[in-house]
Amino acid sequence: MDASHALFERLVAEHERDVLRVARAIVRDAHLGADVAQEAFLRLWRALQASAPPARPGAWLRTATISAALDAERREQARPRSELSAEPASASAGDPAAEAELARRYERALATLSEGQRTVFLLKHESGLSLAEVAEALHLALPTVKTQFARACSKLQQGLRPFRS
Amino acid sequence: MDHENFRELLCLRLYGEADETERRTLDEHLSGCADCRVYALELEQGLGVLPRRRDARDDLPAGWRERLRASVPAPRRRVRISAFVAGLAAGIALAWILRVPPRALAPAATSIEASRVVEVAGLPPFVPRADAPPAATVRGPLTRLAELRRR
Repeated sequence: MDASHALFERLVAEHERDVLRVARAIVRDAHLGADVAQEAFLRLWRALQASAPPARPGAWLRTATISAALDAERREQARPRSELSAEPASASAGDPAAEAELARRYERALATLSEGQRTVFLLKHESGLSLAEVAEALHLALPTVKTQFARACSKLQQGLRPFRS
Repeated sequence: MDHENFRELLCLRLYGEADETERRTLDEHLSGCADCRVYALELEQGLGVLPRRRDARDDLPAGWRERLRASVPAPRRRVRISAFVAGLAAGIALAWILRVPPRALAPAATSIEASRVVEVAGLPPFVPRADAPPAATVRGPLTRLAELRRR
């Protein structure tokens, strides 16, 4: 195995779960998320062939994954997303019907957010990235990301209010 | 700062993203604003029940790595191709170095045949004549050309 393949294999092993989690958080689909993760690693492979390895492969991959996920999202916008929205919410155990209803409302509330708000919120809420990491991955200033996140939270809270009442 | 700004800070604090200054400012405001205290409670209850699938969703699908490897050019194949090309080039170079020019064969063959004829015919060995010009006086075309130019 040559040096670039060895490096690539090592980076895949180190970052595959993070990449997969970020991809799935944004596209909200298990299979599409796996495809997006593959695309992100292929971008890394092409980058390794074209130039020196990125100084911070994890951050580089996160940005590539978000970019690939948003590309996939735009392509798949017309497709109904039923798989993940039908999954029970892990945070609220109990009545399956209520969980399904919450998941449905959550997806609907997410759809009301702008792409930027939605991306920032999902990266924080589902992937567990810090807002500083999100800002770095999206090449945005931290105050901008904080504002987008806070507005996303407000909108979601409003969208979920009828469910709670 | 207005109420909207404080409500944004509430979101940040809920997710552990408010810094020390933001937390202090928020606490001071909440101590005097009942509406924002109610909003803080609603926010915790609302966002607290949102699904988080991060624990269950970083599992690798079956065959995921294999598919990724298959989409990247295999290193062994590239080595084989380059070895094949190198071997072919070496073979061509060797054949070029070892090639026998057809002209080089003719005089040798003629020389062998001539000596064989002399031997078979029982002729006496060749002895140069005494009045023959010395080898140094045998001039080639370039020497003759130089002489003509001098004249």
